Amino acid sequence: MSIATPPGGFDVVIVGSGISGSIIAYQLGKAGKKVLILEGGPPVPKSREAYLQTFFTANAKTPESPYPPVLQGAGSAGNPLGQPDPATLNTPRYTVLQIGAWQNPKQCYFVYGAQAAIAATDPQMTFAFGSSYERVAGGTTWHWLGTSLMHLPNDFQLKTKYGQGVDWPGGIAFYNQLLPYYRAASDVIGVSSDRDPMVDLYKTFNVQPSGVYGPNYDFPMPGIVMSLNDALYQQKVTSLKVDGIPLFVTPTPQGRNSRPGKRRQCAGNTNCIPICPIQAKYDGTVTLAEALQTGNVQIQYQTVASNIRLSGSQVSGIDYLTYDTQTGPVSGRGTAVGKRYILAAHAIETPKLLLMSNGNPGFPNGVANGSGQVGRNLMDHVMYLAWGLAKDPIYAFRGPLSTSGIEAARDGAFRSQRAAYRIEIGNEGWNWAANDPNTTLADFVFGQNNSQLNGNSVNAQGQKLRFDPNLPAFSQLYGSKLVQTLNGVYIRQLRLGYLIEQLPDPDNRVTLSTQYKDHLGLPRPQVTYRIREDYVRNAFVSAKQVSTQIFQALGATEYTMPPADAVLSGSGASSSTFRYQGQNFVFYGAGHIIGTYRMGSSAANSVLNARQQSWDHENLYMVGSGVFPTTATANPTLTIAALALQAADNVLKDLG
Amino acid sequence: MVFDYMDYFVSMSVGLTGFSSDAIAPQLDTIDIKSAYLAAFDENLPTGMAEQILERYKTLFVAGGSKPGSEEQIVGQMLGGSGTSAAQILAMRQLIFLWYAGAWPTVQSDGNSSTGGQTFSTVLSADSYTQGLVWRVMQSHPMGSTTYNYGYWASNPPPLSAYLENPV
Repeated sequence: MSIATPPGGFDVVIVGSGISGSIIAYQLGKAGKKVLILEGGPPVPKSREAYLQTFFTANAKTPESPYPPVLQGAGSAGNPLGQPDPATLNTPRYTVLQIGAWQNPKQCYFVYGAQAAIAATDPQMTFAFGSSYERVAGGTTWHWLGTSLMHLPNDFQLKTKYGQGVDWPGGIAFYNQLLPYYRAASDVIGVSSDRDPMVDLYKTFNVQPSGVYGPNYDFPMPGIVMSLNDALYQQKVTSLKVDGIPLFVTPTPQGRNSRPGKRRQCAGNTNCIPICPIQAKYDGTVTLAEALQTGNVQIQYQTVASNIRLSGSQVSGIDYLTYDTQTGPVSGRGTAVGKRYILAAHAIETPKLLLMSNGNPGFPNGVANGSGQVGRNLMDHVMYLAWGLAKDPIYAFRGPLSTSGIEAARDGAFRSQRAAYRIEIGNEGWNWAANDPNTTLADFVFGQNNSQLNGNSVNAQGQKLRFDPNLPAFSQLYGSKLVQTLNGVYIRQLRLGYLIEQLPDPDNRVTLSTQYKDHLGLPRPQVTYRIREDYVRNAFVSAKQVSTQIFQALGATEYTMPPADAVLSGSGASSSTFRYQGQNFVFYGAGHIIGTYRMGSSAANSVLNARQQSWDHENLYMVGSGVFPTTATANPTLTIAALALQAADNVLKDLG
Repeated sequence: MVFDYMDYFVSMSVGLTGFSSDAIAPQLDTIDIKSAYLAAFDENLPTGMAEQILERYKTLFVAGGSKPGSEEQIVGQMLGGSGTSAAQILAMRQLIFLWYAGAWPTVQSDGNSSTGGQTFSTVLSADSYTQGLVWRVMQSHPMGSTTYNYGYWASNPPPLSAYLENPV
């Protein structure tokens, strides 16, 4: 690929072609600015069928399963999943499969230290980070769910209002400035939502909907129809309160087409994660294509940024390495030069690049790191999962993965004591929760009980969990009895997911491994991750109680599997289990990597100012969820898009 | 594989899975997943075992008058140990799993564990994943490959019988 440097050079160099990088490239390209994007991964394939075939044949249908580099080869002793050694790959990334191998850097891209805690009750216990990302053109939106919610006003002033975490710079003022960008972001993504349910939701948070949307606003497309599953919750949860807050179901604004448009109408493939087969769901490649079509944006693929050069306090160029094949040698190197620089490589690779750039005189701790905050405050929505079996069929495994949620507990006075959460209602049965359909299938074919449906399991309420009390435990079925049993189970499966907000903890951080490198010779991320605060742990206790109440209200039987006691050492060390208030909890990643180059109101404790501009280097900007000071409870992508649009305006102002 | 037992493979599969022969081996079978499954059934077992199982099935089926509808009763006898070894019974169960999941299972039994062991599996092909009977027994479509249209998820699906009796 050859880059044609325009007369006068590039105005802007962007690292990363995900949703943030693509949005900024499009905005700047539309305004006539000359833009170069460096993308570490391969181009968008001519047809997504190639990625889809990889997904179909993958044994583990994880979020990363369709995308290069491949996750699994032939298994061997000590490496049953056949995971590739990250040292042999030019753009390795962290994957969900690696969580189980988190103590083994021959299989896991992130490098973790040994467990420091001596008991599972110790808040110092370290975990495997729960979430992953992609290094391909279009970025991680290839495997996002599509949920397009805004943060709530109080999310921007968590410290001022509740004494927790930090405020976003300017607090509530930041929210007000962001509102028009939220509306523009909904247009970019093409969000499907009806206005009325959102107005009803905001009223419960004492937010004036006219202030949110303006008097005449409506979403780009009508809301996605709710599932039969949603309807059951809608009827039953209104009898419940959490911390005095009445519960109700809200259809989720979603970044997928509810009618034909520039993209196809959602056909309910139940596969938004890992891959929408028909691109009914928005992803970064949509905006990337628009950016390239301006004629002012160029992109160089398989080009990994390796170092940021400074001249004085200004960025003067970004060094890069290129490769032809994933396991091949470095095929070239160069330096990209522009007037402004934007890092949009998501919340692990961006701080890694800043920290790697430690050879500039006067900046020994890396670029943009005068505060020492680069790589710190790594966060996710830590998820509590609960699952159950409905009394009557709700026909799981049909429709988009999620079409509704319970949003009422996303804010309230309780937030001075415990983290808020939103509750996502899953349409995919126990696919995530218990790896179904295969687990239940194997249980009834081979006489096992990993689903708890075919043995002597009893839940916390003392209910017997054997699906058919007329069958003996560990039944091995075939023929029509197998059909009846599997059908009876699958069409009743329920799943709830709690997106629990996490607080910024400076010791939760990405640093550079001094020992392990990728195939390009670049250091790999060393990650330390804890969930120390009672504030966050209290939300797990609440989520567990609320799930049980919801399933009881539904007349459903709860099957949430209580985790076994954590193992603290050895190769089988628990990755995600802790003990709190006498109960074991396991958390799951939400796929939301947040906080590692945060905005703030002071250069002393943040990497970026409210313009998403480096405090240390005036011509350097960063975008993506790494800029978030706190996680709040909304899935982050709409906010990421809104902030990217805002940053694009700021860069345009700078360029004049 | 040197023998030609497709008819009996289909018949036995009808009994094992609970699906009709129209679903297992449609008249117009463009994907022909049954051939891939017969090959996998043979290749993943010790030499000759697939043939022995099918011979046994054929013997019982013919002795019973080759009656359509008798398939489930015959595989019931075989799974109950009538002329079959423990290894052959496990192989027949692996074939059930293959039809449902489109993946060949490795079963790790553990009588000391509360779950009785674990099962791992390897997907044969993209077609085997999408042809898996699990999607049909749940009255739905393969995750990632639907032929339905927008909004279908707000309505009840067709009855289970429609999924058991018909080609995809």
